[in-house]
Amino acid sequence: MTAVLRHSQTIATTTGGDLVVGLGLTTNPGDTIVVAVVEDAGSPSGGGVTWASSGCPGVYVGADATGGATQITVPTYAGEPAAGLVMVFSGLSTLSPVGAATQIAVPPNASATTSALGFTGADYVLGIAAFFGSVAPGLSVPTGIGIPLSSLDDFSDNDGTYYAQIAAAGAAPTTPGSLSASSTNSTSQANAYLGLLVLQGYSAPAPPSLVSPANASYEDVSTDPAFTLGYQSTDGTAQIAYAFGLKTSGASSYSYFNASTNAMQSSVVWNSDSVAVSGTWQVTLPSGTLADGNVYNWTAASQSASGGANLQGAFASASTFTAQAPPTVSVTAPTGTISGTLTPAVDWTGAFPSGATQTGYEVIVESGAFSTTPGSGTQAYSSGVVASSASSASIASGLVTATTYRAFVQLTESGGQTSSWGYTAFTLGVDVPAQPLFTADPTADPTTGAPMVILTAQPEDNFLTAVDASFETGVGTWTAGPNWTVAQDSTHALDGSYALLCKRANTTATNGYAQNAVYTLEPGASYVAEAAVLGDASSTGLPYTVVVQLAGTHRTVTATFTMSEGWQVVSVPFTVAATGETGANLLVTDDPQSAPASGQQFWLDECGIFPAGATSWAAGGFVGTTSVNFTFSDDGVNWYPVRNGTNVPIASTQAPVVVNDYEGALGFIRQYRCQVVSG
Amino acid sequence: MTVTSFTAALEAQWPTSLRWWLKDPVNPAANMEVSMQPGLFKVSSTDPQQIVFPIGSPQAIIMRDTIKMPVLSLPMRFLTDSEFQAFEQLRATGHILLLQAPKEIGQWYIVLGDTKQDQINLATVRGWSTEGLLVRDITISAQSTVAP
Repeated sequence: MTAVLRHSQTIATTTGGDLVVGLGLTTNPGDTIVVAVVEDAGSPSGGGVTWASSGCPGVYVGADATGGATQITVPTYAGEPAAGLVMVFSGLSTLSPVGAATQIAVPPNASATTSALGFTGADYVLGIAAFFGSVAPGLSVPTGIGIPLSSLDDFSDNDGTYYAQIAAAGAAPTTPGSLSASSTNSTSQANAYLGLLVLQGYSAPAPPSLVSPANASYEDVSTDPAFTLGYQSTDGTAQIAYAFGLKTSGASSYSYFNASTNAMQSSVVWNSDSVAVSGTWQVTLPSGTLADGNVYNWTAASQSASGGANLQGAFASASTFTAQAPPTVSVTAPTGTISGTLTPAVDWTGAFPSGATQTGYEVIVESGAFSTTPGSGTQAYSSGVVASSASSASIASGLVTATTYRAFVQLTESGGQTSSWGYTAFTLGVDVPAQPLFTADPTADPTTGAPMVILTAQPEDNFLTAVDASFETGVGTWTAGPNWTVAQDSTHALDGSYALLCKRANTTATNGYAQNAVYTLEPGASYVAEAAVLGDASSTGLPYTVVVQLAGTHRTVTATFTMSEGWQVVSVPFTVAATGETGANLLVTDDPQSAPASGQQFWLDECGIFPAGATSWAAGGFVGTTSVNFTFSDDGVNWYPVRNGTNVPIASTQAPVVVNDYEGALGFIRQYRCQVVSG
Repeated sequence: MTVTSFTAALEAQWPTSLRWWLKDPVNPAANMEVSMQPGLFKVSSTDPQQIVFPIGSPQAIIMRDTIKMPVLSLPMRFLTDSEFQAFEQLRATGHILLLQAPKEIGQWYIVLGDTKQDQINLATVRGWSTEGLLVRDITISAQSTVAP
């Protein structure tokens, strides 16, 4: 039941007395009569109509409960003419207009516009403007209202000439509109009116929007997914029922969901529900109705309340989706400790349903707190979604050594479905150069006096080779004296997987020892030698000595310690003499007076010779290969290279690297940092 | 290639100075203090325009650039000839220079009139000897290359 304008007529100008208007038809029960009149003197009367003022002077809306009216009487001021418009509707929703009618006064010699009112395509819009004056008010209706059903022009009463226009139309636009009019009166008129009235009609709902599964999408139906639909009212009333149809693509007919029996059947079923205007609802089909591997068409229709009319809309154009299982992924590498690279490869194995292939992957690497999906830890790397069928990808950057990571992988298959996240954990144990001691000192240029900041990076690299320092690939230059043997051994290790096993081979009451080759050092410079030692039951409690032997003078600097069954680091600070000494080597020896026994053994690891001031052990093998990058930030967020501070070589002597920054803003704080690069 | 992580960030408080400095980032040895007359120092943004009168047309064509980086008007005073010569040598390099002003004013990377020698306002150049002291006042415009 849709609102219909059954009749419309203008009210002729009269010269006084109440105006009796023949309708030219007989009203039906439920009809709505609208009267818009200029110079009215009260509510109209006639038939079984109950009248209500719209709030817009001169506009009345009447509900005819019994029908049978053939005329109405419009009271007018005695002796005054009147003019207006009468319309008879069927199917209007209520006596009250949609939204309040709006009425505004029009200032002299000016125009005015009503506020916007929302209305739908099923509504009727009525505007009225009336002025006392000499020129028509120039009624302007909202764009899209269409041709006015009726309009009036000037008429005269005892006070002079009135000009009035009334417009009404169906099929109003769905966007808010307004009404405007202009006045040429030089003085304000108490009865200069401008009004806009919206009357609501009923209409069947539009086909619902089929929200999800999206058309042409792929969906895993193994868990009985819900279908989501959007109700699309055309008359502002709620949905009270729906029909839902499904078929496999190519089938001749649909099956319809019966919510009462929770089954599909061959005839259309209207299932009761309640969905607000513009609301959505979901339909979950009986388990087993859908199966992966099929292509489905589905559709639905809405039924609206519509003032009790229960209007049923048409079915929506079918939407199609492919039921397909998502891929699965197993991440196979990296695992354990990775020692060879800071950019390890992530490997995975994907499994796909029949007919599907991998179309993309995403790799995310996190450290810190882990979960089974990314987001809980600190992200170190993200590949983004990469369109590729590859089953391996390198972590291009962002990882640092001595850190445990979890690498997450998610695959995308043809159709766009993604796997759950697979993951693997690994730890990077890659040798890197030592971090330098870094200082930033504001000062003035000693020559020009210009403000500057001196950036100094004191390298702390281990002078020893990698193998001499940690024995991961052998014993290096370490050799044993006559009473000892030395061998690479994996029983214990402080760094990596190996240490140097030093073992006494006899009971000869002379020193046993192990030593490495001489390393060239800078005359006059200070250093610290380090060695980590671990004993077992055979050696615990015995005295040992770490000796630094200075080449050239054979001077020694020693540190004696008692072996224990826990790793201990023995440090020997020393200074190379300015003349006569060119280098040094490390030697570890036992005490021949302490009843040496064959088989007494200990492990040696993390050896090194460092520039004085070094605070921690670092892997060897980097001296002569390193450089420093200095960066600055003025906001703590964005970092930029310091001029002349990129890849500044570090001398093999490990001399401090100094770069001057002249470009910081006077009076402001600038932040600096640096890193060492090898290779 | 292996890389260490960055060291912890260190904060350095740059000196607060009432002086102006003209610095050559490429050659810090040429950095020099300049005596600026703050009351005459100006920073402005311009939209340079050119008016062309085509032959045979009554209509003029006005070509206008978009807004560029600030243009600085630098009123400097040199108390000694060596100061002025040092400035001239710095300007002659054509380098992008860093003009550092006291904190409240700011700093700019600038290009002095290397190709626009006439930006030196000769009308305002005046030298005189006062008890043997040669004073040079010049005003030179500079195009900022980076927003302050």
